[in-house]
Amino acid sequence: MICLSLRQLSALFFCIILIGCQSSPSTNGKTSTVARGYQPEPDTDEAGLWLVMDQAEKDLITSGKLITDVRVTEYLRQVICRLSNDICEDVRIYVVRIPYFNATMAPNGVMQIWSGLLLRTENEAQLAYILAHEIAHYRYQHSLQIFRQAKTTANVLAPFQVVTIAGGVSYVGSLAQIGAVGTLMKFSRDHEREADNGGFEMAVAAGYNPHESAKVWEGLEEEKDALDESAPSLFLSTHPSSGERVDTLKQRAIAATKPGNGWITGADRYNEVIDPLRFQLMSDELRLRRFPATQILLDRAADAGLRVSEIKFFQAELYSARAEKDDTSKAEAAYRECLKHPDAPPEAYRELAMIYMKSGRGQQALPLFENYLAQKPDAFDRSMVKAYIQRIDSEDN
Amino acid sequence: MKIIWVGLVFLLSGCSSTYNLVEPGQVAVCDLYSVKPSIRWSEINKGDVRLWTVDGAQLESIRFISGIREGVSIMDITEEKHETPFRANMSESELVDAIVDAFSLSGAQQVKARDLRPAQFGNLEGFRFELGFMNEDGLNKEGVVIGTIVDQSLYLIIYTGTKIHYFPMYASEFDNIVSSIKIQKNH
Repeated sequence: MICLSLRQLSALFFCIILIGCQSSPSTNGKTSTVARGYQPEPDTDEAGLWLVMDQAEKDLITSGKLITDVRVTEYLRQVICRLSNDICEDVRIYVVRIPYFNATMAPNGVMQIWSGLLLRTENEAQLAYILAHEIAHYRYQHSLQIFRQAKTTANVLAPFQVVTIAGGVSYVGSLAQIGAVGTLMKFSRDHEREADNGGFEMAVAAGYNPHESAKVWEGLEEEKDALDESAPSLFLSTHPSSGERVDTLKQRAIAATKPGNGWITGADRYNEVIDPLRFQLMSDELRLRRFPATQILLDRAADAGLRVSEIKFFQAELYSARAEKDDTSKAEAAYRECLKHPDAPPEAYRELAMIYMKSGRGQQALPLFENYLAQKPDAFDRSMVKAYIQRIDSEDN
Repeated sequence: MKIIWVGLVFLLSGCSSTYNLVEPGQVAVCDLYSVKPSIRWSEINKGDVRLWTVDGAQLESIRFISGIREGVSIMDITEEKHETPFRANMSESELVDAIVDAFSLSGAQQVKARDLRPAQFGNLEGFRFELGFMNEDGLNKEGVVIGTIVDQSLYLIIYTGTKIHYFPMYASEFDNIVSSIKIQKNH
């Protein structure tokens, strides 16, 4: 962790040196937009910033943290191109397996979409409004603006404060560090407002249902309230959310002019692509042990397209992991419910069998263990489960 | 005390500190057991974790993590909410999940457990599995974990190294060390 931080800081200071040596044109926020094929002039501070971003991108590519499912990245590209066709070829999309809600876009066109976002958006329209917000930051060159502002205030590390904070907060830091330099900049309220407006207009122009735009923000606030955390999520810490923002989005949705062929919500299209990932996404979410927030996601999971058997399975897994009073019996009930469905995950058989075995009901466990092995012949714990079966057999004989 | 985490910090950061030399021969690891290495290892201690390495902890290491007690966190560093507390009635599969989670949360990528199976820990019943993962720089690493639960406490020995060269170089020495585990008489 220390080594990585130093490397990141080295890259950053290299960039600072470039800034110190060279003059640069200023940008004035709203009038500055990025066009197709944009490249910074080589003798500018912006070029130095891009150098840092390019290095971060290389680190990201080799990090092993990417979800490289072509179907998913191609789908995301289609959404981005629909939102902003003129620059979509300049955008390089990376789906990063980090179970927090976050999307970022670096000045060099690198867009990171964290896997936790895909678990929380329920359809293409919700996804599109988030991505449009990030594209707007990119178009308006907000990263460059705050970088220059930092230079003038002699507080050059300020834009990277989230990275710095992440480095000190162990969990988020270790997960978020890869590729985080330059992509986690804390934008000003004006930048956020501009990205909200620009992103909203972009998504409406693309035909995405504006009534979906506030839902993700509402969901994040709900999770935050459930966790009773003083610190907001990583995304909310860089993208301040508020009731005002939700209200604004809702009001704008009412005022938006519906296109002749109706709004696009795109739930089916979204589910078709994301559904194969959901088991992994929810497993990763559970790993965070943010049980109240995960419970909210599970409560919403039916709407999000998760299969009933999987909802029951993960509900049982939540109880098992939480292991508070009565959670074992709750988990048992949920596993049983799960196994009523023919598409229950094989692991449900094993987990219910473990509950039976631990509570001295070996004979009830046996068929479940055997079912597990039959359904998952290449299970990583096959030998262990066979040993359980032998143990139960020998205890009963 | 977050013993597994401390072990994993060693594992992934390779923090430098003062090492002592462990000579070949019988070495008491903790109150529970001793082992008999056949080569010299450099050792660093941190709490109940003993780390042995020859070429550097980032290249290869053996971690002896001893006596994780009921209710003690096995996943997180400082944030209580992320802890996975050890429970003495955890199944071997649950322990594997907790260890895999600990690796993942500390920055390892694509952590995959393989071939969980019963194994002897000295003369005690235990478990063993293999691990494959990448470090934060995308370097492929391999690992072996063996463990047992004694008197409501968890004992782990974790051997990891770079998939190319270092892990295979000391794999047979690790197996010899595991085979040499001698449980103290009072257990």
